[in-house]
Amino acid sequence: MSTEPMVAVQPTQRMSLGADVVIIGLGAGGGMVFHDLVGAGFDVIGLELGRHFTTQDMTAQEDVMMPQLFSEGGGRATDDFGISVLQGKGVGGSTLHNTNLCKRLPEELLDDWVVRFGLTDLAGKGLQDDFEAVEKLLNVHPVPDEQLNRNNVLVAQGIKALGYQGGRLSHNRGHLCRQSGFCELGCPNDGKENAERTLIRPAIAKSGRVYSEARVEKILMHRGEAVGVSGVCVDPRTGATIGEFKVQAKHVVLAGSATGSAALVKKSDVPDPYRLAGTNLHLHPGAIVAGVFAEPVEAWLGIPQAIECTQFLEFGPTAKNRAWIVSGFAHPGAAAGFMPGFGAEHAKLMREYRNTAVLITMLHDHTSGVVSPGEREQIHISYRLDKSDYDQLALGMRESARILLAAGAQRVFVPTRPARWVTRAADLDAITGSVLGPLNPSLTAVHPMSTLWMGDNRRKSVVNPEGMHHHVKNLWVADGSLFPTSIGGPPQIPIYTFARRVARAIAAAQ
Amino acid sequence: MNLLKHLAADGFRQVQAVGLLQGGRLAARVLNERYPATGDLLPWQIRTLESLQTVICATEDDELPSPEECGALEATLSFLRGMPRPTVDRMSALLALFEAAPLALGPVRVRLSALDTAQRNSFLETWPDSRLAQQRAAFHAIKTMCMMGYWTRPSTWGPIGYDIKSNPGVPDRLKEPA
Repeated sequence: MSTEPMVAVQPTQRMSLGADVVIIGLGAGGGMVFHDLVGAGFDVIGLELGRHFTTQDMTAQEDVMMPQLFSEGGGRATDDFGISVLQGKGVGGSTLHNTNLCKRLPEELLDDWVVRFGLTDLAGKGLQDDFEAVEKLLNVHPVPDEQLNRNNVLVAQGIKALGYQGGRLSHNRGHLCRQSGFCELGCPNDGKENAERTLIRPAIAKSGRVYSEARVEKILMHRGEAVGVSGVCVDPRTGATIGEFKVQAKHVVLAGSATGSAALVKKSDVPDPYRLAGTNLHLHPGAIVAGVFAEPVEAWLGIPQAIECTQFLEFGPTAKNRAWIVSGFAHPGAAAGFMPGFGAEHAKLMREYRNTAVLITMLHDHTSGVVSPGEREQIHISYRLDKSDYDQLALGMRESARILLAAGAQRVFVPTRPARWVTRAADLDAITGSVLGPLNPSLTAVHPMSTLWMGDNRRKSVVNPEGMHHHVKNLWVADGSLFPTSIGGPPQIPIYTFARRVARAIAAAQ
Repeated sequence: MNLLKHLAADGFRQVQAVGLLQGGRLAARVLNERYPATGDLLPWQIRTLESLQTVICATEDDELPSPEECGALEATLSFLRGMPRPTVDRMSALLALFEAAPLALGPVRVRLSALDTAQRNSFLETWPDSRLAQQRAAFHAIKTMCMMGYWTRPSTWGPIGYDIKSNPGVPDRLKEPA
């Protein structure tokens, strides 16, 4: 057993390892495969680019934690800088910084995948049983009434006043959660039932081997089969190379996210006769809308993101409305970046930070983009919303503002260019897709997906319905890359669940 | 649009076409400055960052500290030092471009750090809502960085009502930020 980071290896030393299975990336997907296969008696090595944090490492300081917990130090973005793409880094991946949102995939979406992508196995009870088992493992439960903070209470009031569909979200929090409100910076209380705590730690205690600060550079193949990986040991802060490693394994599992896994496939020249890998990227981008209230909201206190509005969220190729609205918040450093303007006027707005409630509208996007590898951990992301998605974004922003006004906001900030302050619902009609465009508004995406997607057709998908690559035997995908379309909601429960199914398929193939 | 503005707009498109990093190198050459090694910033770029931050994080509020008073520049640099080299390199290029931008955009055709505060404020005013997406993107990136350095200083929290000490969920060990 070893939990030491690869930086412990002397830079001049070349580490060579062997295992039944090597997993690249230890977030939700990689963590689940690691957990299940170690539990099944396999010899498993997990490789992770970021650090293996302890609870003591979580300092609740934005400027300290952001560069450590996020890929590219939080600076990852689409090539035109229009969308900030925040993805986790570290043993536990994005589950270290997420706000614990747990939702299953809706039936309409699964029906679409069955029809269009031949994923017939998803129609049965098996997937629902898997969802249930994962939820039990992760201690998923609705946020109780007494734990709703003021931001969430106001949003719930607005949704109710308008008669919209929506309600309480479920989270995976454990008994150590003290409602600090610092979920996004890594829980300082070990209160999350995240991948690191729930899956990886117990698997390490059995026999699993984890190497952090290890960047995989290449998938090794021989005669049409994956046989291992090679890469470099890195300084987690600067990304500087300080050693090399190679892992030989019977199975290689890609779980480095929809951006990282696809970039690695392209960098490794994995056979791709139909040039699909890295395309079909969906980002589920979101825009914030903020309402200023007469009374203090203190959105940073307590559990964030406990209420959703689903009134404008439909699924499937003919969906008319595709905006998911969820309560949000940010600590001052990040919040200041979202508020309009600069200088003294901006500082005046920050004076109202305490009285500000926030909603995020996330787009169940039909737009697709392309991922390609950059230097070191850098990923190039080409993605621009199409007209119909701008219309949906405008819908989501309008309705977010309407909810905040219905909840009693004195005025609502809508991040168009130029910024709008709305005081009456009647003024919202002017916010249409035609007034939006690149960087108007600035968007943030935390749920990239779909770049190595499942399907039964080798010409139209990258991996088979069980998660194995169509053209390379024993190369598996177990992260958000698997989803054939945007899923329109938080991906962690679907990723955990599909990774469990991939683990099962690997065990069966052994 | 006058010819100079047209040229400037074209310049932004050119920067995107040749890539941000090459654009930064080109700007350094125009300024007759050395360009830093990967993952590094040079003193002239740090002065640019400071010139930007003193305007972007300026306040007329007596209760809020100035960026200088609260150590915002040092915090921003520390934040940047925590980032991987390619991310620092992009910021380095952006700082070079900002330093050179007044030479192309005016109205006073000197490098950014040679402008006085009022001139810098006036120069930056059009960036957030610029017609050019690249210009808005550049400003957004710099603003985000500057704000992170300023608003993470504990001395800015009292006036906006943010408080960690009274948050019962925060462990005691974190209630006195280093």
